[in-house]
Amino acid sequence: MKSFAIQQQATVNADAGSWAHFWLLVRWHLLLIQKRKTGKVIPGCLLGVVGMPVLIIILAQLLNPVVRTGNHIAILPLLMWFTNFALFLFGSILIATMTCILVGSEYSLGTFRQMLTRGASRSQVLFSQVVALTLYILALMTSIFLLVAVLGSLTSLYIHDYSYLSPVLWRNIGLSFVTVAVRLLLFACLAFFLTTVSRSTVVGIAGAWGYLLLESIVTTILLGMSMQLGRPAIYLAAILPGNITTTLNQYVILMLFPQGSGISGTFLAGHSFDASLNWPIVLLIIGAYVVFTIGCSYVLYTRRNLDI
Amino acid sequence: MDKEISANGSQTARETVLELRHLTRKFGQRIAVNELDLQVYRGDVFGLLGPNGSGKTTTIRMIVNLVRPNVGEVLLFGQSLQQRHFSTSILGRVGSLIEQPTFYPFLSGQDNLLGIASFAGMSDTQVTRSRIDESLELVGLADRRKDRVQTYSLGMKQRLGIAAALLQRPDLVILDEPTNGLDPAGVFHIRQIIQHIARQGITIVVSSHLLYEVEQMCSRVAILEQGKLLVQDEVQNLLQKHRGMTVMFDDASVLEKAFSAMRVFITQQSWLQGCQVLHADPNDKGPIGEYALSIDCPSEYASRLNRLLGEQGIYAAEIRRQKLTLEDFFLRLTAQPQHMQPDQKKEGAGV
Repeated sequence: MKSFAIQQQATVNADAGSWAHFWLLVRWHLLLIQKRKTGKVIPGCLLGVVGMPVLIIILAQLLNPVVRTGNHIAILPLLMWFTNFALFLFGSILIATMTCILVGSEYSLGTFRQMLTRGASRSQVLFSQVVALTLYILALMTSIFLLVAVLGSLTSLYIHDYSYLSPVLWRNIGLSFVTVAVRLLLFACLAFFLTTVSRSTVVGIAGAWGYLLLESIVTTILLGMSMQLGRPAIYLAAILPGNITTTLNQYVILMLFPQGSGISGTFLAGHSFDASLNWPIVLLIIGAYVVFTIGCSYVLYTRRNLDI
Repeated sequence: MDKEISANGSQTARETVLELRHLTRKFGQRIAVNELDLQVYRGDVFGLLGPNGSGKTTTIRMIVNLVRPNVGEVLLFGQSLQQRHFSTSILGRVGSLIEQPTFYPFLSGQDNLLGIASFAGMSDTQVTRSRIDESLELVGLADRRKDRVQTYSLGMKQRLGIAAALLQRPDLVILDEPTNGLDPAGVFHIRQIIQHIARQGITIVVSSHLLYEVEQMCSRVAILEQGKLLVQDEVQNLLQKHRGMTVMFDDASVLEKAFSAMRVFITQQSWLQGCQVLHADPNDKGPIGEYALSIDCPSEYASRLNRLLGEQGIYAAEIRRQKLTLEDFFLRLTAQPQHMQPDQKKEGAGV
């Protein structure tokens, strides 16, 4: 055996338990996301669902520019609408799936034992996962929005559509980014909670997907019953996590497409139960969901025995 | 500090690294660990033994704060894990390998250790990297450091687990079944590593089923059964206290007489107090036609016992002093089928 001198006195790292330790954990979780297949497949899928329609629109505009034909549709808002729509619809499913895999695999691989027996507290481990996921989602969305914005601006420039110069449009794009981010983060929190409760990737994914299906069924039933039950049924449907983020998104869609016509009008037509909810209330309810899911995850994670 | 009497009679103070006080853990109605009291001193290589389901792993999980006790407390370096203001950073002084080694299979051994360094609050610096290299070198994985863990054999994963446990230069290393599932060469290698660590003065708690290994490695042991502590002592003390002897007879009927006589001697002779007959089966004929009576008593009593038996007209063909191994002792204590209990014997074969 090769010579190896272990110091008799343990050298407990000065960082243990501190903010520096917390950031080390965040960085590690971010690195793990990158190194996993999931960390490559999910962004690939998101780029696919956003990129395909975006590329088709750009290609169509380049081949037959609507500006030149006089049938004017501003290209950048259109691309942003598609991006918003694709991320809103598929992003939440993909991000929820990714969250379940990341959190659940710590249990299935047993690596949570490595994390929790080295000096990091349970709350540090849990919140570092939450922060890492948040940063990852924001980075992913920023990349996609930037990519679409650059492509849209270049196409606009090429076809002499100068709508991208409008500061209002960029403000709306920013708001669109925020609303999509809020939805993805809310679904990530929901998936995080389900996986923490079940300690299983499969159950977490099934729960998250099942919830999305269940919510649409419950919404349909509640809206159908609104004739008998009146406003309470509509409010109840409106405050469900998926619907409440849709409501928030509608404000932005309306800003991107103020005329409320064409495709955006079609998109909005199916979601009319939000008339009485203004955006501060919407944000408050979304905040409550985030606090509830992360709070419950925290309580469960820090108090339960990890005897698996 | 606890004081204990050393061999030469002088009192020596030994620092208690780990102490369990009345530790109890229930899972539903089942009591996994029952009022367990243990002390591990600095420099000990402490063996935690017990049959399957005796509560070893639950105890270790409570020590590293994965499971919380219902009653009692765990004191690590004098700090109670159950106190509200307990800082988990004290766990940074403990290196552990709990059950199977757990790693990210898609990462290399080196990257896994980098992650574990992060968990311990060690940033990715040159010092951390050199510690990782040293740990990998110690366990003989230096040349495989860049390979993904999914390509490692079980033995290599166990060794990587030990490297992970040593990464933060701990005061206390806890190894739960480190030789589980390994071939003899793997077991030998792990034993060498543990002995090497012990020589550095690091306190080690190791749970294992491989009693020969434990006897070779450990200075002190505790034996658990159904969550209760049966015994806790230095290995040499245990083996010396519980040496025994085997008295051989040529005839089954003489064995029966000897068994009955022994039971009387034990109650009548004060010097035989605490001794017991462990094994006497008239149907169990040895390879050269002998019948054996196993007795748990100091082997120094052999000649006195022979004289007592002779006075009763019972003549032994042979008396052998037994050198007790930890395995013998463990099996006696936990009543494994190898040795029939005297009480069972009375009711069963009627000897």
